[in-house]
Amino acid sequence: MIEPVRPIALADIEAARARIAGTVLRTPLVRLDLGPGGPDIRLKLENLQPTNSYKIRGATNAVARLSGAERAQGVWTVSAGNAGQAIALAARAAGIACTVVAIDSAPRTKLDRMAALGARVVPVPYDVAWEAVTDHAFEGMEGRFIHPFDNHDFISGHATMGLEILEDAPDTKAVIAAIGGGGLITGVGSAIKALRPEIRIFGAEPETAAPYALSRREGGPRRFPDWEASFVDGAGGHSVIERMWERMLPIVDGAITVSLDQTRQAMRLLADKARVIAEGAGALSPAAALTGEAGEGPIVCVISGGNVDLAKFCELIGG
Amino acid sequence: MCWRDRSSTGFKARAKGLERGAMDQPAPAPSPVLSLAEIEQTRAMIAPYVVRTPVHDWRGREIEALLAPGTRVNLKLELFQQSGTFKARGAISKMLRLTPEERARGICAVSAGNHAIAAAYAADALGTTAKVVMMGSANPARVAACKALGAEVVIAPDGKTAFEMVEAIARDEGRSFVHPFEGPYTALGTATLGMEWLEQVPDLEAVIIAIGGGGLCGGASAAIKLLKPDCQVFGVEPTGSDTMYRSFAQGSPIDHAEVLTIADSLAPPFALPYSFSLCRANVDDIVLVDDDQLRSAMGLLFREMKLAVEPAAAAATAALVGPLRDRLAGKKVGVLVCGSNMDFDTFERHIRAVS
Repeated sequence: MIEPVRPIALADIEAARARIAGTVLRTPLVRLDLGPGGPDIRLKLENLQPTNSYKIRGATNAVARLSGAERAQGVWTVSAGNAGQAIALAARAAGIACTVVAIDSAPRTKLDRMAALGARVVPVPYDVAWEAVTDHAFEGMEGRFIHPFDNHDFISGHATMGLEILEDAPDTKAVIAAIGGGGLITGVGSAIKALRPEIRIFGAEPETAAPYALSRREGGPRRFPDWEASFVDGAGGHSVIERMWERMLPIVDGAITVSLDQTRQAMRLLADKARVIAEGAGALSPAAALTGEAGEGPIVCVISGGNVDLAKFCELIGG
Repeated sequence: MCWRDRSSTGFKARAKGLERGAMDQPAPAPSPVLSLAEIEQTRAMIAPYVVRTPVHDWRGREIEALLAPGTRVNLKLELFQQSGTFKARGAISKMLRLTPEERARGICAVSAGNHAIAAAYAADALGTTAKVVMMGSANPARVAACKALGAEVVIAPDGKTAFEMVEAIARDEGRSFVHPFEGPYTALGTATLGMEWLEQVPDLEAVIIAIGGGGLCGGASAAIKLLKPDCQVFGVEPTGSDTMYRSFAQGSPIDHAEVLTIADSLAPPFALPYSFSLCRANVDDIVLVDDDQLRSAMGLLFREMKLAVEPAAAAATAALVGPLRDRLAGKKVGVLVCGSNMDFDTFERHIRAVS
């Protein structure tokens, strides 16, 4: 049974924070120094987490909430790469079996790392995986399903990042996070809105996969008609799932769509100016900040992940 | 700083003369032994202009496989300091000790890299002007960074000429020379880093700090030994620039070094007495890493910490997984990522050159 959507309460977030301390790291918030007169952009470096993405927050919290009986049965999830690694790590740490239904076009390094962390990997095409996250089901899977975004405990784990942001940058005016399924932004945004409702929350998507921006324009959850795969493999969904639309509605103030070129340029800028390596999805938020659509700042950009290898990174930002 | 060109004794004498001139200021110089009170005072003075840089525990499959069992690593991410390097601490500390008249006349500096950017930043932050002499070999991104901070940049053909030029600028324009590493106020600036780190991570049992001229290591190690005498301090130098290592062996600062390393920020052509004596008093041992070890550490930091840093910033990591691996078994080790001002293309060239 799928539990009804309910708000991510501050108490849930604080409980998650206590639960995941020790496994999940408190990541640094640093300035992106663009020189005198540049916009005030700060980077929340979630790419420094174990498995190099924010997903370890939600994964650790969700695994910690399992009952003894659920642990014995193991867990499974669906992933484009980062959620699978994080859940595999959290499951291994707890001594639980883990299966990942993985998108077969995900970067080889992400698939290999899930396997190295002890997960059984079942590769499927993107469409099949998206159907599984929409239906909360995949034939042949046993044990507890940890949804990679539509899961209260998973999102509550991500929300702990919002508390850290407010502690480190109380002068924040806007926060930008990438949207894939919507779990990250719902989590971070829930923490921020609970404590500082005037801070604006923006979602960033690539132009090739921007169902949330379309849904906002049309006033309800939509499927993105011209979806294309790209190097931004960790964000940008086929559609906004009804339940995620409901979760994001009270939390998100706007959508910013960026081009693949803007995303590549942001990857290069981060590497040149801050020496920080972001994967495509991780660079959506600074690319969005640089459009000016989120205001003058201070803007906090969640650098959601850094899982990209050197050859790929060089190829993307070169020339 | 970087001196790719070979030094001469005349070069050294000029550098010393400049520093002596700087130390002849009317304000009383602190004693050669830093005190906690002086460090705390410096910290309060520089606080408006520098960042309390983040620390981060390093947890990853690759690093854990490289370390001896039980070793835990904490990174001090000083590369996120203003100007991208720890050198902002020393430059601000030094410049705040100038008289209002001196400060108004501006400062001058010589460097191929991080110190030039830090001096430019400090001058801009304190509302004065900087004239920096950089070598023609300096990375264009570093020259551009200085100019973006409003500094006037003068290009010198080589290190020797660079020092002659900065000396002339100090004399003719009345600018105060801000040395890249030597002197008590610079050391008090870097000492604030050591104090800050132990506050952030009180259970550190050892730290690893890169040595160029020794200004960073001297100041930071002095603070660490004052606060926690049983915390071990290891210095690390490139094999191609082992100036302090040989000074330790000789018992006095060596006055001439042939340098050949990819870590251009760790390559001074000589050691100087103040930094030498601070390091000698507070550093337990110095280890060496070669260029390939530096490149490997850069790759490791790229893959696991998602940082693309210059070679100098990877030196402490190279020592951690290299010469110090067994000696640090089971300890909580602090690794300083001291700063990085290098564009990504240069990073890529370095890292692809692993032989």
